[in-house]
Amino acid sequence: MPHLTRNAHVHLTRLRGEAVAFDAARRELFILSDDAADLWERLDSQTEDVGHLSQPEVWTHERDAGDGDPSTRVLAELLDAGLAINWRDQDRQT
Amino acid sequence: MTTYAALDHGFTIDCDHDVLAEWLQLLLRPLQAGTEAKAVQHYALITQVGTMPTVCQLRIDGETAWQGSDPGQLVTRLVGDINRRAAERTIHHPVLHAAACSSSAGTLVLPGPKNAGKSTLVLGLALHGFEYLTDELVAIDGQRVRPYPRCVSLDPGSWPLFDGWLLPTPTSVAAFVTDLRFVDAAQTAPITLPPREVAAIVCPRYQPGACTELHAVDPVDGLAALLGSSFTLDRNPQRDLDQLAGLLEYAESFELIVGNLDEACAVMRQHFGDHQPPSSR
Repeated sequence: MPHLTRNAHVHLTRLRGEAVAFDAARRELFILSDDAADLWERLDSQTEDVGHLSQPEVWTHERDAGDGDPSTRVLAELLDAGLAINWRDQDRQT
Repeated sequence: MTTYAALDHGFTIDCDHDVLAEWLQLLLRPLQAGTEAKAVQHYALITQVGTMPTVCQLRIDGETAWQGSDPGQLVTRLVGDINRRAAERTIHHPVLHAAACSSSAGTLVLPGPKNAGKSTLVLGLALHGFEYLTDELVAIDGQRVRPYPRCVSLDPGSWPLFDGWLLPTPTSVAAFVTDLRFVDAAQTAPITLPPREVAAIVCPRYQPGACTELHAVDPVDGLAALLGSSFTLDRNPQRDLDQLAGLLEYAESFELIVGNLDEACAVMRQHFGDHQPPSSR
């Protein structure tokens, strides 16, 4: 089962506890919700299907054709679901 | 022959012009390596190719890397190649296009693109009591910065600001370096403190005439600035992302609007430590 790290263009890290994803191909930074970060980290380490993103408890790799970059597709799903935003769009106060 | 080290880029150099060769020793003095250093590259500056007095070359390991009829480009080409290979050969750390200096508060990293004012600002800070680490490449080693204290290179617009500090450039040498002048900031503001952890990321934005101000920004803005300045991101994106985010666990992020250099230095001293500036020459 392909993991996110295979052929990955998008990489995840923690910044002061907050999950951020960096798309190295587009050079864009994204902030992930806690739920999205948990899903990502489970997906990255999984050895079996987790389910559809729309049903968080169930997640599959149906769209992953084997080649290409699963991480980019996962990030796109997270953005569509409102579970990740581009860092430029975040409403921040310092 | 003297071996020099620009981060992990070791090199030697020779030149067919005696006065230029002597001046290059001054220019490269801060990069002199210890006896254990291993030179990988050999640069040769040829100021006269055959019978063509105005054709000069930069050769690297015997191969012609550049040849031109404008001798004023010769030193610029050399300095550019040293920087480029320093970034390429330093493979064990994230390398940023940034300046850096140290104060009692810790190390300050100043990332920014070309013409952001990094060199001018870090030199101004060095002359206001901060210790000089680099004006060009920051190699992140955990929570610290590896020094790369090359002579600060200045564009013509900045020369009047540092008139008393510029490396003397004899007339015969000026012909080979028409668009840059240099300051040996490592001699003026040497590193005397033990290596300090990175305390702040400060992104300079030079806006002539603007009100000079320093304001805090979100850590994610700091991370975006560091990622945007990375030379090594394509080689090792996960490593760079992890290490730069790790840096920001403790370092705060700022933007510095620089309307005036003296004001910017005063603001930085107020915020990050107060030192006695070195006496002028």
